[in-house]
Amino acid sequence: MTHIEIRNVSKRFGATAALSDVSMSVETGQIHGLLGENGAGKSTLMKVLSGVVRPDAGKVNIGGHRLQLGSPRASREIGLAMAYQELSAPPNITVATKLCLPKLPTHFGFAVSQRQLTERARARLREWEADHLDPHAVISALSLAARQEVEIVAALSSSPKLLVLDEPTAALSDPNWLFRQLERVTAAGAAVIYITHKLNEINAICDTGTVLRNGRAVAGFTRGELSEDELVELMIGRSFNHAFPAKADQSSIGEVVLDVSDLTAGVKLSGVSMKVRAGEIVGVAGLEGQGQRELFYALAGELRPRAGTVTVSAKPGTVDFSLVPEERKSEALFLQMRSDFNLTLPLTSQFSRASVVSRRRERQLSEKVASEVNLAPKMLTQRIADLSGGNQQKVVFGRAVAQSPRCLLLFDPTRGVDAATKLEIYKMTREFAAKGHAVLVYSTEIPELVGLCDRVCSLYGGQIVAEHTADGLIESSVMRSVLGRSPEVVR
Amino acid sequence: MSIVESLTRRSIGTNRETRIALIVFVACYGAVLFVTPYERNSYAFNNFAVLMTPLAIAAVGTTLVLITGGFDLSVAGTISLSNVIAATTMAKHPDAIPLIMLIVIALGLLIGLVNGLLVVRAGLQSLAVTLGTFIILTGIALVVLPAPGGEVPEFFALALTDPLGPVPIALIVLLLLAGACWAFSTSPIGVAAYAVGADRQAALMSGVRVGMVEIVCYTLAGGLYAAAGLYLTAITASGDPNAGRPFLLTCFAAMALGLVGFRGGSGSAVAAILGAGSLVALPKLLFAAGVEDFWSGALQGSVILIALAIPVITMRLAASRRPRTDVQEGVPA
Repeated sequence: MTHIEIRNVSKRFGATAALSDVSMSVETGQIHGLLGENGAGKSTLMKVLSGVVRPDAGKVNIGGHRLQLGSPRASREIGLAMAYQELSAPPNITVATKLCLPKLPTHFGFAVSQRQLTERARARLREWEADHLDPHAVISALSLAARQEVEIVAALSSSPKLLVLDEPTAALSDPNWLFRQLERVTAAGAAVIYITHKLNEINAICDTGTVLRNGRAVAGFTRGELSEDELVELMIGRSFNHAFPAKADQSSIGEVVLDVSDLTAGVKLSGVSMKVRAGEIVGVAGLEGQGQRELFYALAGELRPRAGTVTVSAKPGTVDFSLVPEERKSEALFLQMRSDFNLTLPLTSQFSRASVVSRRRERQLSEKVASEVNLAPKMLTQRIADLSGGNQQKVVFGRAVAQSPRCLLLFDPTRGVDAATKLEIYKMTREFAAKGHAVLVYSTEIPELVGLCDRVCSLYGGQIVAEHTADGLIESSVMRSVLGRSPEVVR
Repeated sequence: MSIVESLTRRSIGTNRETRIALIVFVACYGAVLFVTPYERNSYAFNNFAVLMTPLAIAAVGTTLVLITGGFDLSVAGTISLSNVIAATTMAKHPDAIPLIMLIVIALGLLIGLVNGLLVVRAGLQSLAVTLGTFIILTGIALVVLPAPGGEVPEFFALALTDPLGPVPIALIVLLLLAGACWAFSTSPIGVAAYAVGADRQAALMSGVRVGMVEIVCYTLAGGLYAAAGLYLTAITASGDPNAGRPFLLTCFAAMALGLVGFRGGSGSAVAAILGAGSLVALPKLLFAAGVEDFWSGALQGSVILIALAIPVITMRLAASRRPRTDVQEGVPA
């Protein structure tokens, strides 16, 4: 029995067709993977399902009922639940309130019953194996991973007929927790649409799947039918070399640029020492909350260290650090402004003379930077909020690189970025290092660190517990050390 | 969990603001009582409560809107209009006064509803919409009553301003108002209003009926402004097409003193009521000290800045007393 059926859905925004004639179906109890680059139409399709966007044509049937399109309430009432990548919990409410929205339990239909609210939230957290979360905690005080868990539990506990998850594991520390819960909801007869950039997840958990490209469904597949390389080819519409750029050879690595000694910052980071040399890409691996954020933000000057020293070999006319931060939308971008503004803001001194900003030189500079990061020139005059995640990240990356820092700090630079842009970012990172800069990169994906970096340091409990170089730089050993299982910790 | 905690946990993170507003109010009013012996009697207390009531009612209205993240300037226009309508009709039809009051309040609700619809359905900015309605309403008020004048029956004025036995009616009004504010903040729609103000998009995606919540807040606010206008009429016993104008600034000042977050999503209407009380107490202090009345603006402004500084100062103090491990500047966990 087909549980959900999407028929010939089309949607145009001005001149661009976000979705053209997309059809797909998902069976009861199955997980359907939805793949596509950023800008392929995945999020528009999601918004159509959730009722936020009304399509120009097409229809959607869920469980035999025709969904009234363009009404968030109708979508909710027909049994559709979503966990959004950008996380939908208002920052000032408690976990319990988020879990019970939109229908809060009340006394006599008026005052919200705090006792029932907490009880109901506790029950839901217990039901979905997330009882380590405190129902009284305020959302804004939670880590990104915990907020993602809350988002997912909220979606799961609305007993959905169709559950849509947008990159749910981007911030999760334990994806297996999610996979276990997904098994339970599918066993209960729900269908799941699972959007991800992580190709290994597709073959691991999805029964069927659809590849979107430029707003069209270009392929459907069942589990194991297509290899990861074939999926990537379908997504970007051409084949390419999947490999990471070649690593630096010993001769091209220069003097020490960054020398960190006994750095202690925030609550988590305690006594980290490391050196990064010119031309070298050093990775930092760690589970969520092991002090990596404190390390990067202390180096970037966003967080005052409590102890330790940071030395950067001086070079006149350059900045010491520039950071590609964790959350692109809230920490890096001016969403209402155009891309060129976002790109050149820290460089204003380069194109202004005697407090007059030269628009002509600003344009030249932004075009130059854009070409370096493969950003289409026409995007420079667009509002950055209208660009896809991958293109936004190119702007953030381009801005960091254009300052020509002695040491480039990349904090999870490929989060929520499509496969093609990921490869471009790897390549650009390597090229930047090859020009004699030091690069420090953190990623949640260990294969990425292993493929990209010359050396990887594992953080556990705020300290570096292992360093992996050359032959020791393999996925399994990095994985073991970030879990705290390396000999250095166990002794 | 203590009773206080269980009561305050219902409203979101507003206890500290209310506490600070209460301290500021006690300090201001306490100073008035301390330096002026003739304020220490029930007659003066009644006067004080009466004087702060219209501002308190109006400030609750602007707070409701501000919690959802909107600015409501129509407060001044609505008060003026309700004042001139009351002052021109009540004396002519003393029997119909309850009906007139109902109509005025209904008119206020309608004005608020229009504001809300323009903001939500038409997607216009609240500041622009309510600036427009403010100007329109002031114009209409001038048409109704071109120059200060008009009158209301004495019994209407006394019924709202005289004490009921030993208890000032105004105090009862204020307590009812505070109770209603508290009830609102614990109701599902109140919780939703805070969520909307903090992050509209997130509230929308969480299934909150954002538009409905906003419209309800604007509408209630309009009704409150009309009520404030009626109470003002009872105090002045006359009409003035510009009667509402001073309320524009003082409402926002009262909210600032009540530490209502101007970015939306935080603050307590009860604190705004206390803020209104502090604002009314300050000029009395100057009067007692024999300082010219012109200084009252300077004093009110300074007290607002002091009140705003209190949470920052206490946070710094708490941070310096605690072991330094908790200090985490700029990096949310």
